[in-house]
Amino acid sequence: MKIGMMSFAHMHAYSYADALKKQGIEISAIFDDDSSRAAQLEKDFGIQVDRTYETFFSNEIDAVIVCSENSRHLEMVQYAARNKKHILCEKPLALSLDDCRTMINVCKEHHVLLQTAFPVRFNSVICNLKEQIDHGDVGDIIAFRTTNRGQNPGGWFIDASKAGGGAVLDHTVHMVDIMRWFTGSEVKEVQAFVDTIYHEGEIDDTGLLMIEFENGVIASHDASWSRYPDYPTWGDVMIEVIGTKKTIRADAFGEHLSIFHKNKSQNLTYDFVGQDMDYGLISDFIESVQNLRSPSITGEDGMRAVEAALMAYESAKKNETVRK
Amino acid sequence: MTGVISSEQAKWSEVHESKKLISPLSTYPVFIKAKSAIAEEKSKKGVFRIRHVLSEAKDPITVAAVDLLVIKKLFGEVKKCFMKRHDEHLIISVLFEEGTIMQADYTFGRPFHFELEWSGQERIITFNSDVNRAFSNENILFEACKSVKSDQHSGFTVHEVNQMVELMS
Repeated sequence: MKIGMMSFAHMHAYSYADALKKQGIEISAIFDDDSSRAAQLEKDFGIQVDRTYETFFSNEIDAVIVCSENSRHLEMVQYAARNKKHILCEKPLALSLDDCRTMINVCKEHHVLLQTAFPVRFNSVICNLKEQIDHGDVGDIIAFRTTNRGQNPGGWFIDASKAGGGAVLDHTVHMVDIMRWFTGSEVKEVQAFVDTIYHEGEIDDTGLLMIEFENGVIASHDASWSRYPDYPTWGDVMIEVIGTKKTIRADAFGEHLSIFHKNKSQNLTYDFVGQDMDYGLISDFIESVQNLRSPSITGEDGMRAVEAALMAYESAKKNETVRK
Repeated sequence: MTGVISSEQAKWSEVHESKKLISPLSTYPVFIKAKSAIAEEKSKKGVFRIRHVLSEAKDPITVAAVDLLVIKKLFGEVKKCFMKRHDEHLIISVLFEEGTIMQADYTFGRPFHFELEWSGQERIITFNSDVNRAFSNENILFEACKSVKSDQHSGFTVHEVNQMVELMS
């Protein structure tokens, strides 16, 4: 199996590259047309980085991992599909539903797999919770309470033309995907407040959402970049499932060591000791490609998560409930 | 007929106009402490969240409305409120005039549990009654609440609660 990496603009690219290495998968080619990043990648990986699509696709590769700025996912997926490469695309899948549909259709047309990178589905805590739900331990799900808060990533993430949205887009898609996965139901309506509170720029860095699914399950969600640089950890991924039998709370990064540092501005850190979910995501993608099976997280899944985030923006803008 | 009733105990349709309703939230030492810390923020723009699980509530909307009356003393008037409810669970999302956004999740008919979070521009405050407790075998938060007395002045009239319920709905 030969994998090509398309852009390292998103910080997850390094983690995915590491997961490939751990699984003995060769990174055969890297595309990045940002000259300073490309130079650094050549040092880090010891291979020549392709600055054009033409040279990149002339390499022998079976599949690609797209980790560009959000605004370039569409273009890269189209190039990859037309060159018959299977694709794992970083979330959010695209900036609009039309772009998502175009990506899904081009992959169907060229008979290549399109998987959305939602690593939280491979977090061991979240997987355990899914098993408990499927086993009937919580009874029927009544409601969810979820959070995905982090630090402001800066760079292109706070450039609306490249990111398409701020914290609400960045940190809603993961948990909407998990809630869809747990319920097997689609988002029916969204009510949201979106604001820019924690930094000077214009892009949103916080949002509170209320969601109702088609099966009647209701949910609250806190998406933000509200964690300061000296906060003990980068952020959180938490879900509470309120069922007819009981409530279970799962913290995807709950397994950590608290370390107090003398004479440092960040005098407390939470060092994660749990399982590497990016490893699980990459492993699943590789298996899908090897067996030519439908991806466990499809382009459609990616599109539905984007749809919920876009509904949140619309709700906040109109100050009213947005229904599908 | 005068006196105070805890919002947990009140069935709204049966509350006499001369009664005042108090929020259990207003008696929680952690809320009182958090309130004074939040008051030190230069700006009220931030995210306030509470999780309230109560063993009983005769009228869940009343509980949320009276809590909201307590909270608006900290963040100002309610500009917009959304509510979603299920028989056992209720969520409200609130935008206050000073720019605070808030979410409160209530579950009823389960063992007591309380969480509070403030994500502000100068501080992050968290409390979880399952974690921040002195004993593993009893709910010390609940015990501590008993030491804080609410009087009639800290309660809300039928008219005030009615107005808030209308706003939430």
